[in-house]
Amino acid sequence: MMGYMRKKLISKIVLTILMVALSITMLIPFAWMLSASFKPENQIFDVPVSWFPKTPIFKNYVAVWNSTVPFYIFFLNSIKVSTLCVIGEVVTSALAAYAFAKIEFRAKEFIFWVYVATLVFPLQMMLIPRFVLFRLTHLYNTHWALILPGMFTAFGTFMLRQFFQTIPDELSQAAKIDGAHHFMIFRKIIIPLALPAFSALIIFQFVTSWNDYVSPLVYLRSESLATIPLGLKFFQDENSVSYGAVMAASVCSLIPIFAVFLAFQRQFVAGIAMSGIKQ
Amino acid sequence: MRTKIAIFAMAMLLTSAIVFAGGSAEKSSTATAGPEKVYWYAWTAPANMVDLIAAFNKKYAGKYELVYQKMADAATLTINTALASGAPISVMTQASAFDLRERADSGVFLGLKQFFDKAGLDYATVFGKSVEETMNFNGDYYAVPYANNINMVFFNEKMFDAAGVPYPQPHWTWSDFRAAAKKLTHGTGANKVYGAMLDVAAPNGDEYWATIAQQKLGSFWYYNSDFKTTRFDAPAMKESLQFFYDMFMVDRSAVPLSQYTALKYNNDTNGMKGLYSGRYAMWVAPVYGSLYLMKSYGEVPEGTRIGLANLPRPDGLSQSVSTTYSSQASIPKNTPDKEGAWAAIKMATIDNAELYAGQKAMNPGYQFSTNAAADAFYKLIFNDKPGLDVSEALKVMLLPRELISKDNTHIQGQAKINELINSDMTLVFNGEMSVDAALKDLKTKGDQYIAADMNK
Amino acid sequence: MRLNSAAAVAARKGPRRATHLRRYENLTAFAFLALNFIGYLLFKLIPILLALILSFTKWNFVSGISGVKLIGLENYARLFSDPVFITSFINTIVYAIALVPVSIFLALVLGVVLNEYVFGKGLLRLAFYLPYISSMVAVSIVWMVLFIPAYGPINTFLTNIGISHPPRWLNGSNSSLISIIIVGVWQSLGYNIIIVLAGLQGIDRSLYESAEIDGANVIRKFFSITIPSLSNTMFFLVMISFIRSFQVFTSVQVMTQGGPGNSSSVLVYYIYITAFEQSDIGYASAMSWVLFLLVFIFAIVRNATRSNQN
Repeated sequence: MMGYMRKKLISKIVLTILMVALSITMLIPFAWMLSASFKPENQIFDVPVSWFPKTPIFKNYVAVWNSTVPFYIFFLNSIKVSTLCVIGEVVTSALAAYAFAKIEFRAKEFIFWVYVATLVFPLQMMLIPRFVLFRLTHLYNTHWALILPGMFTAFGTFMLRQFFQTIPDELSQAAKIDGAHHFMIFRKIIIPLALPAFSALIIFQFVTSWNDYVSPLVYLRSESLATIPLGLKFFQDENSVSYGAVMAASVCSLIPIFAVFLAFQRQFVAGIAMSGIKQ
Repeated sequence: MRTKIAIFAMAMLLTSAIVFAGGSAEKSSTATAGPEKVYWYAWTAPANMVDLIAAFNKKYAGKYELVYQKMADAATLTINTALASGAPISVMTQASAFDLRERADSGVFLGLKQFFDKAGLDYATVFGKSVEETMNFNGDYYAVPYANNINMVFFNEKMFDAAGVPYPQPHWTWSDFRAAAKKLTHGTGANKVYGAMLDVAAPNGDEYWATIAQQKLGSFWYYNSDFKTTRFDAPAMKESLQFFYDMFMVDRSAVPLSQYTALKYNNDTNGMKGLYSGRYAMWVAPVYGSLYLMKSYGEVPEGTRIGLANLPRPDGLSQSVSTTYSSQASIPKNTPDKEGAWAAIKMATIDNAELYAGQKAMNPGYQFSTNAAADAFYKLIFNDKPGLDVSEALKVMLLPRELISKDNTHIQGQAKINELINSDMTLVFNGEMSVDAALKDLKTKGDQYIAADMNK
Repeated sequence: MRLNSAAAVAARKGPRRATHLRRYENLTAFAFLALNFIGYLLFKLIPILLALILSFTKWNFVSGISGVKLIGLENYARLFSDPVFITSFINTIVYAIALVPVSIFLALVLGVVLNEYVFGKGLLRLAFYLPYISSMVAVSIVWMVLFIPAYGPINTFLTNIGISHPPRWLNGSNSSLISIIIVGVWQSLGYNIIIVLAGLQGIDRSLYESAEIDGANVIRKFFSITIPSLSNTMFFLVMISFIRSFQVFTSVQVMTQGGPGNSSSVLVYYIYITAFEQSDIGYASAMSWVLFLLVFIFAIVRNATRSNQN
């Protein structure tokens, strides 16, 4: 038995090393970004690429947080918009996904396929129709123009429906026989079992809202409402792009994403999720 | 896990509430009895607007107040969204002649001839024949150029000295340019130093491959004089494309397309930096290229000497011809105050261009009436540009030259022709399409595009 | 295989009970669905329908509502003789077909490994997800430098190991799309891994334990337990990967602008420049609708074959 455990340990170590090597390729742009954020402007595009700045400076970070361009406001705006999007998305999608996965109703398949098919419609094409819609409803140049479309998506519904379907019907049937109605089944059985799926959805939706640069560009006009991707553009003007400041701002903007990711990915633990179910 | 989510959500909601309390919609400006606000929309750095705002507010104290709104960028989408958003815009600036024409045709902009007539100004006299030609849409003008960006050649004097190449003569030719570039090119691999760097074929870039054609053919360079067909079959077109093709693909004395797009030399800040860092010896750029010698764009190394030369002329033309493009200001039709908007434009583009174009080292839109006026203006824009050989630059700017505007404001077929130029020229300068094939393709399809648009 | 539980219960309780139950089910479903559906209707369906209307017009939106000009089916007619549209369409399909299998297979393998076979799981997973969340500016700058044909790192490496004429990557017509695909696979890996990880959590551990007792090795376990148990996740993964790959845009916009020629032009990029650089919203809407209808048909066909499996 000991030999088997040792073999497992060794293979774990070997695999870790392999994955670290592979992940280095994933990290290269991030490394470039990090390094550029510490470089003076005229060293950023040096070729061959220097991964370690010759003369590291903090000026770029100071410039980001302490400039006439109010980066901290963009930061707060992004947090507000992304959080509200995530909360709305998870709630509405979970409810809808439960209906698609666990309730039989008329035209279910058809409606579901409309949901899925419309996923392919490019966001870029909805910009102008939504622009017109928001102008008419006076939502233009407010945060609701960013939050509302992000709260009601077909993506979340689709993803959660797939995960809810993996939860065996025997569970909900047992509950029904005990007299539970749908909402109780949803609350007490489905939600706890689908936590990994919720975590994935939270991570995805947060990142999508956080990095969306084209919606704020079209739906917002005031600098004070800008989210980070739009705000980064205010570090540029017709005469220059201050790449150092843009990279420093981008690095800072990754931190909340890291936090959300690391917090929720713990749900992806090879664990005891389904072990309580025996036939 | 549940509690974690709850805490996370609470924290975020709290933050959101704080930000929310700041108000989600912009408070509409209270209608006070005070000066009329004049909203100037541009992509200029706010620091460069300070002097103009101060001067304008002083001159029109109590009557008008200039308010600057910086846009996120100068892209077509951003400007169009701002125009369509219902926000009060007094003056909108743009640098794309195609977009200007589209907006004018869509009825977005006000005709400005009325203001010129009232002020007793003649557009052609003020701005020159070439600019007037391109800005005249059916007898009216919908934009005023605040800068007429003249293409010049910046060169690294030290590199010329080291290679023993004489500095460019005042009225040098493209053959001189090519010979110099060959002599200045040396080295291999990553350390290769090129004779010249110019953006010939990046999509929607400067398209310098057409320079010789533009110099010889004049305004609306690819339209025939009847505007019904293209003139990609003109000998000047072949001469132009073949010349730059040979420089790039045969001599290999200019930075290749694949490299200058990856290393962003076609971004002006990097363009000047590459020049003084010794990556290449000559850089084709408009006059405002000198701006990037300022300290704020990077430390210029000690002992740098950047010279300025005329754009080379084609053999066959007797005097120097420079291609130009304009940056313009327009007044939207639904502006809150027409007179105020015109007052702002007149000050920034005609009366006190040193406060607007001058701040950005740009050549003003108008023609100088006297050499003294020109000298004063150029002294201003070449001031505080470390590394620039100022006396040389001043001399060169005062040389006589004919100006040809690159602004193509004729609409029929242009959108698709530009798209085709983008795709064919990337193929030519990557060595996948021959000069003749590209010009033939442009001629055949270009004529079709014009015909299709005219039939609508 | 799924039992129709409500109907089964209803059937046992008699016909009148059955209608009651069905109505109850319908109403409950409606209640659950309502919130999401109303928002979806307002912010997705209505804009899509508006886009349909716009596809029959010629409109530069800066001219306001009064500038809308109805031109009937002209935009659609133009589509089929537009070589750039056809090239973009083909490129998009090639991109999707190349990217989806590779990315999913890699995500499956890496997902399983990152699930429990390594140390420092959280950080490693974050590393794989980083390409997806990094600023596209940084990503494109780095890849463009890596891809430089003359002396970029990739080609330097290739020439060193003996390949005399390495590809021209972003600067050759027959390699630009491949370069975009490589960047696409690299970026989508983290995204797909997360989905795989979420799905892996739903697999009953006891299945693995009994397989181990029977002496199954890692590969056997992977193919006989993991993959079948992930069928719902796989379906989602395939659909979403295809849909996302049809929407490839930013990498093309930033790195090649569709070039050289039109060799890397993809549908959404062409739609974007038509709508926002050439200000021809009508034509762009028509293209979007053709794209949408084709995927819709694909989805219906997929659904038909899948319900046969059920």
